[in-house]
Amino acid sequence: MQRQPAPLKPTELHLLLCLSRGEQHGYGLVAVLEEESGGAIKLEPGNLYRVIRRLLDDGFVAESERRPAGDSIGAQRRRYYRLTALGRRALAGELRRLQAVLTSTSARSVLRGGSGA
Amino acid sequence: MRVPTVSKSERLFAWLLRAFPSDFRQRFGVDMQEVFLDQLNVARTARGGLWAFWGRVLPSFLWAALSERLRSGRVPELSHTVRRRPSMFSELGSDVRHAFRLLRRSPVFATTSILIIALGVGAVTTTFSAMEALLLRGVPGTRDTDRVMSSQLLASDGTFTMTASPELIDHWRTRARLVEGVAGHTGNELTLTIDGAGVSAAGGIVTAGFFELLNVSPQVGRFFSAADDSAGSAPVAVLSHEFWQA
Repeated sequence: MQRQPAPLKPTELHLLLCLSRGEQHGYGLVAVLEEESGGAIKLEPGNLYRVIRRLLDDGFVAESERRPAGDSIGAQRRRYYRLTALGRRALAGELRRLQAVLTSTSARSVLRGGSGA
Repeated sequence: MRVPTVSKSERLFAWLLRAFPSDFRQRFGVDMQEVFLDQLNVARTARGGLWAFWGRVLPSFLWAALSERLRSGRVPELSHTVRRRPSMFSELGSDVRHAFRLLRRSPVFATTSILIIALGVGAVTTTFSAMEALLLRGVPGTRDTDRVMSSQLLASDGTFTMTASPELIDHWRTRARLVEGVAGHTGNELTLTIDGAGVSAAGGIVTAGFFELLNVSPQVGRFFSAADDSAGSAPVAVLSHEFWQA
């Protein structure tokens, strides 16, 4: 069953963004997320695979049969995930939604440090 | 404080995976262990070490497991599924099966529990058997001992007991209307002379009719008669089977 367009959760958004740059395995996703969020997002295996399970069930992500060339034997054994076309559209929709929010007058006022009251 | 080793952490994580629903484990269990091992290797050299790592991972991990179980409806107490009310015996059967499954998962705990319960039951059984034999059951060979009553003479201020004289016992025996009979007894550590040698024996002095009150009969010979109570009569004794055999 595919999910109706709805705001993605922050972790989902970050995971989809990470996968938009290429296929990745579980620990690779954890490492990239931690690095890109400046350490704010530290996923442990349980939560990581809960999010992956949701994204798989929604059709945003799929398991990849291919393995990136040049990876170690250990990495070859891991399961890789890729972004699906549906996932890419959902990601693009979410980014546009966030962009619209960020470019709104209210948001710009808040970002400039205005009181707004 | 000891820091858990990597192998212990791995074993603990593999055990904790059971918190997730089985279908989730089958789907992602191996991958989760791979990610955990990678994180563990990093944590070993990080500040805080394994303790800090487990402190961060464990709550989040358990919360994820609970969320997955709630989603899949595998937590019956919290799910909203409507089920037919089970009968008492079907519920009992499932409880027993559940208990056996839990015990089978922890054989050491199960064995220890069974041994402790066995020791407890044994100790209680022994105690009650001894109490029953010593306090509740009558002397072997006696009958209707629940109708036998023992009384003592007490000083008027209750500070010490007094010995009833043979005349007083005889007086009670001839005047009592509510009891079948009255006999006197006193316990003593006796010294007997057998073949010129002194022998110590636990015994007592009783009046005639004592054994008849207990409804016992001698294996050999006779018990005391009224003539034995009279002054100047020859001394007589009743020996227990055990003393006779010794």
